[in-house]
Amino acid sequence: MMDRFKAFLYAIKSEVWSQSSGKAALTLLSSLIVLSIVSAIMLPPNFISVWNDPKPWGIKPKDAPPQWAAFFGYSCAPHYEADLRGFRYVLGISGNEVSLKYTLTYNLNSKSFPQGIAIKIDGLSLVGVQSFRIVLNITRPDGVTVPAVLTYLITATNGSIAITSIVLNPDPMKLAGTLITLYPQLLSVANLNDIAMNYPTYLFGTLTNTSRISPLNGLYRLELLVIIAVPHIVTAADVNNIVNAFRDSQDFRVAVIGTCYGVLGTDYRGRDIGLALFFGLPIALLIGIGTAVLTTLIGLFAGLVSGYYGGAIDESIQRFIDVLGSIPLLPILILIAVAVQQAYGANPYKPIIMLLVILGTLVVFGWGGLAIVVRSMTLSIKSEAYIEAAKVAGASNWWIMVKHIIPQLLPYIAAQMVYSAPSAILTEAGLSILGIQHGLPTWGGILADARIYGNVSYWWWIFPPGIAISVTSLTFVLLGLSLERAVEPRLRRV
Amino acid sequence: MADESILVVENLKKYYELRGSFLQVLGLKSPTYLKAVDGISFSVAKGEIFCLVGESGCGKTTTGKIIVRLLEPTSGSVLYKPSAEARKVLESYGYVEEYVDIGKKYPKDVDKVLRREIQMIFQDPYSSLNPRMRIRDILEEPLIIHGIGKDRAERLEIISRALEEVKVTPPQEFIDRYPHMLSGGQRQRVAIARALVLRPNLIVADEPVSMLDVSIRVEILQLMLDIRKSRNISYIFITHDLAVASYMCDRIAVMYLGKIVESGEITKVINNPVHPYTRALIEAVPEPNPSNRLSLRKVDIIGEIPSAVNIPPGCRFHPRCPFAMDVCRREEPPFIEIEKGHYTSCWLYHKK
Repeated sequence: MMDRFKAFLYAIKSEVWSQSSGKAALTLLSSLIVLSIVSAIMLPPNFISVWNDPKPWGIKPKDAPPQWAAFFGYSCAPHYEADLRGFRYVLGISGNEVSLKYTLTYNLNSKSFPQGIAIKIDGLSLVGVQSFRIVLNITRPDGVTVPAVLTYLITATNGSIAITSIVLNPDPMKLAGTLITLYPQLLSVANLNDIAMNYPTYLFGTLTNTSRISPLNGLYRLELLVIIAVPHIVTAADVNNIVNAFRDSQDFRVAVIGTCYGVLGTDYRGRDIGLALFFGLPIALLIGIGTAVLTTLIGLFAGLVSGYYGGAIDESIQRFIDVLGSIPLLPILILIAVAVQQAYGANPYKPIIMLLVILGTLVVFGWGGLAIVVRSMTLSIKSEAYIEAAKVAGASNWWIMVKHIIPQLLPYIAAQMVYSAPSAILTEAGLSILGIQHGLPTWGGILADARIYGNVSYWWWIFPPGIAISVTSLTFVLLGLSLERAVEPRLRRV
Repeated sequence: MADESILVVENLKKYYELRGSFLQVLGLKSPTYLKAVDGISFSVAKGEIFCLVGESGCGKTTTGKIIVRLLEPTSGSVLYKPSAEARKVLESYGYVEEYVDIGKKYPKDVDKVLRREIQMIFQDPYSSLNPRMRIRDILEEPLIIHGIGKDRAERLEIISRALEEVKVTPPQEFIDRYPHMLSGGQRQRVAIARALVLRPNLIVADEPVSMLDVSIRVEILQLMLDIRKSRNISYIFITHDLAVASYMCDRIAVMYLGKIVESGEITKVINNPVHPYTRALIEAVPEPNPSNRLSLRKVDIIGEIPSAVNIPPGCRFHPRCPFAMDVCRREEPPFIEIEKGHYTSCWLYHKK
C-alpha cells in the first residue's frame, strides 16, 4: 500500500515536473517552503510581542527606505548603532563614583539629516549602588562640542537599580536651549520651538546662508559617560560588579538614527519590514494552506455524503448550506473580531487567537460552495454504470466513495484546494485592510499599516508585501494548473 | 425442472412511487405508481441461458437489476439456490433452506457471499469500466472486496488467468492499460472477466452486445457460450434483439409492459410464436434476403408502448393489438400452456 502511494506521488511529481508551469510552480513552492521552514526555525519565541511593542524599535529609523535605495539616488543619512556591551571604554574612579567613558564616531556624508539620537538599555540590574547617570556629548565636525545632548538620571531604591527596557532620547527643549547658546544665529531661521521639534536638523546641520540649514558633513565624535554612584568609597569589588552588570545586560546600545535601514526599509514605528516579510511567510503559508485544506476537506466530505446518500441527509446538509450562505460574512467577521478583541484584549496570545478565529470563521463559511458542486458531481458520478458494477462486485458505500467517486472529484478538488489557498491569503490581507487587525506581522497586516500610517511614496512598504502575496498566489495557481493534468488521466499524454 | 432450478422468480413486482401533485407530496392523496415490473414468474436451470426480450421500457433491465440485488423488489420472491461453497457460510448464519430469497436484506457477510454468486455484465462497456482505473485495478477490485488471493502476486495470477479466459491476450500487455486504450470488444471482454473472477453461478447479461460493432458481436456471444460450457454457468440474457436471442438462448420470455406475455423453449417460441406481440417482434427482424424486403408484414402493431404509469386495463397489449376483442379490454388474460414448455397469456388461445 505504502509502495503504491509512493509510486502515485512519484507519478504526480514527474507529471507536474514535465510541464513548464509545473516546473515553475514546484521551484517556487519548494523555495517558499524552505524559506518558511528557515524562518520558522529562526523565529524568536517572543517575536509577536516584540513586534507590537514600540520600545525596541525606538532606535530604528522610521518610514525609512532600504539602504540600497542610495544607489538609485536616494539621499541616505547613514544609520549608526553601537553595542556598548563589547565596546572599549575608559574607566574613571573618583570618590564614590565609577564612570565609564565611551567614545564613538559617526560619519555623516549625505544630503539629509539623521532622524535623531537614542540609547537603548535592556535588562540591566545594578545592586549596591546609589544612582546611575548618563551624559552624551557630541563634538561636531566644526569643532564645537554640544554638551549634554542626552542626559539621564535614575536613583536607586533600596540600593539597587533594575531596568527592563528603556529607550532614551534627548530632551528637545533642553537641547534646543543648548544649541541656541552655541549658535545664536540659528534664531534667524527658527525659534526655540522649531529647533526643539526638529532637533536633529540643527544638531547635525549648519547655516549655509541666511535662510538655509543643510547637513554638516564630517566626523562627529560621540562621548558617552556612564556614571554610577555607590554609597561609599569605590572599591575594586564595586568596579567589578558594575562592569559585569553592563556586560551581562541584555542590550545596551547607542544609535544615531539614519534615514535608510535594512534590506527592505522600515515602517512608521521603525520596525523592519524585511523582518516582517520573512517571518510573515510561514504565517501566510499556514493561513493559505490551512484554510484551503480545511475548507476543501469539509466541503468534500459534506458534498460527498449529501450527494451519495441523498434523502434527509442531503436535504439537511443543503438547507444548512443555504442558511450559511445567506449570512453575510463581513459583518459577522467584524463582530467576531470585536468580541475576541474584548475577551482576550489582555492575553499575550491575542493576535494568534484572533487570527485563528478569523480563519475558523472563513472555513465555517467557506465550504458551502464546494459542497454544492461536489454534491452535484457525486450525483452524476453515482449513476454511472461502473458504480453499479462495483456494487454488484460487493463494494460497500465507503469503498465506492473512496475508490470511485473521490478519484473522479480529485482534479476538481485539487484545483479548488490550490486555488483557494491564495484566496485565503488575500482575504486575510483584505480583512486587515478593512481594520480587522490581529497584530501579527502578516503581509496583509503590513499593507494595512501602510494604508493607515503610510504614504503613497513609501514604495518599500507597499510593493514588497504586495509582490510576496502575488508570488505566493502565482505559485498556487501554477501548481493548480499542472496538478489538474496530473490527476486527470485522460489529459495525460499517453 | 424445478429441482435443478438455481433461480426461481415468483410474482416479482417493482413499483416506483410517484409523488407528483402537491396533495401527494403532503400524503393527502395516495401516490401513483410506475409499475416497472408487474408480477412476473420464471425459473432458470443450472447451466441454462434464459433470455428476457422486449422493447425498451418493458422492465427487463429492472428485473435483471433485482436479480443482481441492485434494486429491491416491491413484492414477490427471488429464490436462489446457492452453491455448496456458499451454502456452508449461509448455514453458519442460520439460513438452512435450500433456496434463499435474495430480494430481502441480509447482514453484511451473508450479503457478500450472495453477491459473489450472481454477477452482471453491463450493456455499455464504455461506461461500466471506470475510466480512471487500469485494467488490473478494475479486475482486482472484486478480489480485494471478497478477500480472494493472499497477496498482490496471487491476485495478479487470477487476473491474468481471467483475461486469458476471455481471450484478452497476452494479459501482461493489457493489465496496465486504461479502458480508453482498449477497443469496444476488448472492453466488453474485460467486463466479462470482471464478472468471472468471482466464479459466479449465475450471470445477468444486460444487452451485452448491443453497444458493440456488429462485426464483433458474435465473438463475444461465442465467448459467453464457451464460458457456459467450461464453467456450467447459468445466464439470464437480456436483449431486445431476437436474432441474438435465438443464437444464445435455451429458453426465452417475452416481456411487455412489466409482464411476461409469452415464454418457452427458444425453438418453439421463434418457430411458432403465438402472442401477437411476439409475432410482431419476430416480423420486425430484418429480412436477410433482399428480394423479400418489400414483402408485407403479416402482423402490424399500432402505435408506441404506453407509459408504465397508465397501464391499460384488461390485457395490457390490447390498444396495439390487431386482434383485440371485447374480453381483452375487460380482463387480464391468464398464463396458459399451449404446448409442452410453451406458455402465453392471450385470450386468443384461451379455451372457453
